[in-house]
Amino acid sequence: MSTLEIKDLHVSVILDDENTKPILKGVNLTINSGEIHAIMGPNGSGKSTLASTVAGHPKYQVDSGEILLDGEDVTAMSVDERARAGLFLAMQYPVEIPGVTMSNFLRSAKTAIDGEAPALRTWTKDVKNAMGELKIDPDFVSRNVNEGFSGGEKKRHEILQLELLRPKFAILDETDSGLDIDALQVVSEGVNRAHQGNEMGVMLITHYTRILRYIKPDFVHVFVDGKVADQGGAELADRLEEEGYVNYLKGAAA
Amino acid sequence: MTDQIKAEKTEASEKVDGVVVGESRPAIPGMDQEGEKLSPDLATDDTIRARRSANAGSDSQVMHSRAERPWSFDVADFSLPTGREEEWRFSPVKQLQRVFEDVASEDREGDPAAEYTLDVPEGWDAGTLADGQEPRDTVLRPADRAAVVGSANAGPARYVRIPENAERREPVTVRIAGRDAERRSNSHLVIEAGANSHTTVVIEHTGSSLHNGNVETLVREGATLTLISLQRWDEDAVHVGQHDAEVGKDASYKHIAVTLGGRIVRLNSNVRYADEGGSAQMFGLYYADSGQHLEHRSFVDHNAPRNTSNVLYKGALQGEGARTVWVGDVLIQKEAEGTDSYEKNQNLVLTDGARADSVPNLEIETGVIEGAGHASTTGQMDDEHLWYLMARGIPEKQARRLVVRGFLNEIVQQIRVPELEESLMEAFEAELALSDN
Amino acid sequence: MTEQVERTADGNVITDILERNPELEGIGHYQYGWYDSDEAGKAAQRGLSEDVVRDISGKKDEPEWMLNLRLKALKFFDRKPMPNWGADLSGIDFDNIKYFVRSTEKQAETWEDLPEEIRDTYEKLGIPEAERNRLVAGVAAQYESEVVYHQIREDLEAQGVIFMDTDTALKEHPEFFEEYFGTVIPVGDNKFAALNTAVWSGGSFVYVPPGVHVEIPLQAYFRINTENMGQFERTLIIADEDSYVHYIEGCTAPIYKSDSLHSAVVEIIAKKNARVRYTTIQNWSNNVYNLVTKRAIAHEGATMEWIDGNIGSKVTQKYPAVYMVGEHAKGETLSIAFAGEGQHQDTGSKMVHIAPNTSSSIVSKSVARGGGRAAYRGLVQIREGAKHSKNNVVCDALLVDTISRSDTYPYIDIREDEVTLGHEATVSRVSEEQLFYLMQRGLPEDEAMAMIVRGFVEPIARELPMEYALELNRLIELQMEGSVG
Repeated sequence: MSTLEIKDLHVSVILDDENTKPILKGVNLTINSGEIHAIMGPNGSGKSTLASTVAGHPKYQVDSGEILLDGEDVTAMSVDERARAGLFLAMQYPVEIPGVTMSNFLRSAKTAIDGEAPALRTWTKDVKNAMGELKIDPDFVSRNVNEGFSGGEKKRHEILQLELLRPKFAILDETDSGLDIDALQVVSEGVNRAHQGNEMGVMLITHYTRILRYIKPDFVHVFVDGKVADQGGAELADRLEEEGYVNYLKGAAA
Repeated sequence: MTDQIKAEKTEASEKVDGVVVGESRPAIPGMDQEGEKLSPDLATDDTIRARRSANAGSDSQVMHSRAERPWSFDVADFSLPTGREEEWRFSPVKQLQRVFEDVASEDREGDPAAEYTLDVPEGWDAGTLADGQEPRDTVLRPADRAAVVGSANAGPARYVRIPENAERREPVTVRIAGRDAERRSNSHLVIEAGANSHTTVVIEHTGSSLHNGNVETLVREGATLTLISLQRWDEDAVHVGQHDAEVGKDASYKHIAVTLGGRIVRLNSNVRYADEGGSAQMFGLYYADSGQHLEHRSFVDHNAPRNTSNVLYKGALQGEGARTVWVGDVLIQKEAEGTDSYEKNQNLVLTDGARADSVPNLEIETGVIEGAGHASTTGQMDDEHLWYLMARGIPEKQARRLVVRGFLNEIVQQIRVPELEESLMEAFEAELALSDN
Repeated sequence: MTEQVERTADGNVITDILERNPELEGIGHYQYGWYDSDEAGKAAQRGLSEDVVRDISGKKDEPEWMLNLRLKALKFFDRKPMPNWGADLSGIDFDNIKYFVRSTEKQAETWEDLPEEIRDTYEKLGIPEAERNRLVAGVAAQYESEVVYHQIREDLEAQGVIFMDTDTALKEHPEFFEEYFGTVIPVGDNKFAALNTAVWSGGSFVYVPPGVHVEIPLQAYFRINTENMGQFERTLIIADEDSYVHYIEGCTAPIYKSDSLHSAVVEIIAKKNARVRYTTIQNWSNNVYNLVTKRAIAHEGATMEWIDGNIGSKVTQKYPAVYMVGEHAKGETLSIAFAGEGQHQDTGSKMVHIAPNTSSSIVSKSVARGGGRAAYRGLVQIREGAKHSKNNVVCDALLVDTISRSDTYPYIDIREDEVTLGHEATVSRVSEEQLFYLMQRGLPEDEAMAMIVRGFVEPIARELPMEYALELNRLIELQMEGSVG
């Protein structure tokens, strides 16, 4: 049983050497193992900033507040330390890394996370099975990381890593964007497998309710102007589908 | 050459134990026992030759970087080039001797060696600057023998000052018309574009002369200046020159060298920056016929942070002995963080017997850059292009012309002076007609 | 060059070297900086003179013409100025160098016959192990000035393949030397080639008869042990018509306070339709000046491939060349340079098109860090008459910090119009997003950096035999350790 606690988090984006701009203005959120939290909200509300900040992206600066993983503040940890502590970020725009094969990358990451190299025989089988489930062509292991992948292929590979690395908490940053309905289903099944298999906690960041048909959230938080404006159960998502974010935006403007 | 070398040359077929050990041993054509000679009058030592020091100082002086290239206002600091120096090794140095001489312009009463005319627009200042009178000599640093004797013998520099905030669509043209291929003319022109001005200046070279002309340009803060240097000399002219510019804060400088005429033209175009936010574009276009040597050298010195540069030179060559040289140096100094730079040279060789040399050099002393790169291509016409046009019913001759025009047009488009663009395209037509024979 | 694709029994594509060859995991994590006791080296004479040259030739009991060639080379060496255009060579003190060190009296045919210290050295380098694993078809090991161990597979010998040290070959096969020695790199070609010709010792001689394909590489390993040693090996490779051979060399040296000099000459003759591949992984310690002349002549339809990895040394100046003298000859260079702290790698390639329809390509990748300097310097020359020749040059540089530098000096000299040439260069930095992505997957920063660098050089690394690719990867990791603060 693990807990990811975000307490009164204020974050700015670093624009250049001298200027920063505040984005998150006091976020509070607690996720326990096995829970799925959907973070929804209009564009520019700070959802992706929250995801990147939890993972430790250097572009974001924590001005105040805490991010606690099982009681330990991760804000002082480097990106890789956080990853090894069990935080996984499925990125919105996975970057290409020329010359580095998926197979090499996956094994290196697994070794880093586990602290020891996986046994080659079982590892190859695990990778193959996971790829099969996600309908990824086996030849992809010999391709370079994300190089020349379509949007959907990149997202499926993010989930492949999620399944293989078995984090305590996964943050999915608009993983649903740009996916057709078949791909969305495949990706969602992957998330559900990881969730059920490892008691993984999930922070699911999305703009649309579509993905929530496949991944059932326990909690829904509405993000507006860098803060949680409303929260509730799965029924809140249904309401948002009908009404949109208009009411919250009015509230923020008032 | 020393006697010792000569002595050894004669022992070409020297044999010991029946084995040839002398000069005829090398199996590679063009090699003797001292390896190869890249050029007949080049005493090369090394597998790959490279940057030697300039004339200033002794020939053995070590120069590891473009940044160390010497410059001086003193003629005595530059000995006569021999062709062995790195910066002269592509040039027909023997035929340039008369523009290396430390002599005054051969003007006569009422008959200058080269006539200089300028219609000064209202509000602009035109005058002269004595030796050492600022802004003369604040930007241009003579970097070779030709440049130093040119400025030293130019007398008062011609000075054009574009007032601050001036805006003018029509170009202002400085005309330099040579009168005699045997007479030496020296000139030093200083152009100062005042802050936030927005103008185009054309320097047009016509006629014939042994011309040694330097241009010194100051682009003040926020100014935008397009400087077009047209070399439309008669076929017997010789022209050497150095064009230096300093680009101010947030200023834009566009230098376009268009060289069609002249027997030998050798232009050095250099840029550096006074502050941040500047942009330099250096374009060049050359079309060499039989017997012409057209050489362009550009040097962008990123000596300050956050400036951009883009260099593009394109050339076409036709006819026996047509020769072009392009050497493009880009130096990104340690302090020039945030630099974005690219340079490219493309040559189109249209007939047998022409030769194009292309040397893009890139030196980077800091890793904190936006981007840097260079490219160079030399080749014949792309058969695919020709095929495509011919498949649409265009005869080959016309198709070839279309392709060449298209190739050159990329630079012509940068000129943005319609009459000039038209006149250049006409000149290209005339050139193309020559190669059809 | 073909890409190797292997599949597991159940159809998975395997490209990862370790997955393909799990047994390689055991091959040592090399550290080369130790040195052995050095009785022979201490006694060796310093400085260069006619007497030294006569002494070397005398000890080798050479024919008179070779001595004469050496003496002529010495004159050229004395007369030629130091090259002043590349790296700073002012640290070389020719008077302090030991030009010839004999470490054993007799060449060994089994590792057991070698003196214990030398045998240990090669064990630590993993050379006998590679031989035992049949990863190579023949091995030559040079220690100081001479080849101390030599072995070639019997079946190759039976086919007429000659692979022996150059000194022995000169005695046993003088006809090859009379015909070819010094014909590709003339006696006075450049200062360091002249020096090599004057004092050369050791190196490999390879002859591959017509039609013979040597499928498994021949390997040579060069080791300097003595402080201030000059190693001047001389290699001559003759690939007769329609033959194929792949020759690999590796180099290491101990870390001493003062510098050593490695100045080799490699001459290659690829006859009609022959193909020669020459691979170097140079990992000299950071006090070795590595100034090497390598040149091949490619006859009609022949292919010459240089794969040149420069990881170590203080200064390297090396531009493997191909002179394409026959129609349809091909030249290819793949070059990797890694310049760390205090290093200057001035490398590149030279392609000279003499015959029509010849083609060449140069792909160069350089990485600079820790204030190191990596330069690509190349020459492409298309001589008159070399119609329809093609050349393409791509050089990419990767900067991993802000204090290193990368330069590109590509010379292009065209004297023929019906040719196609292209040159492209890029300089890039490791992006923050790439680092973040890899670190988010748990990799520490230096490992993430090393992975990006390995990916950058991968197009060349995959051309290496697997144990060398693995070694290259490890060397990059070593170089990247502590590269990030």
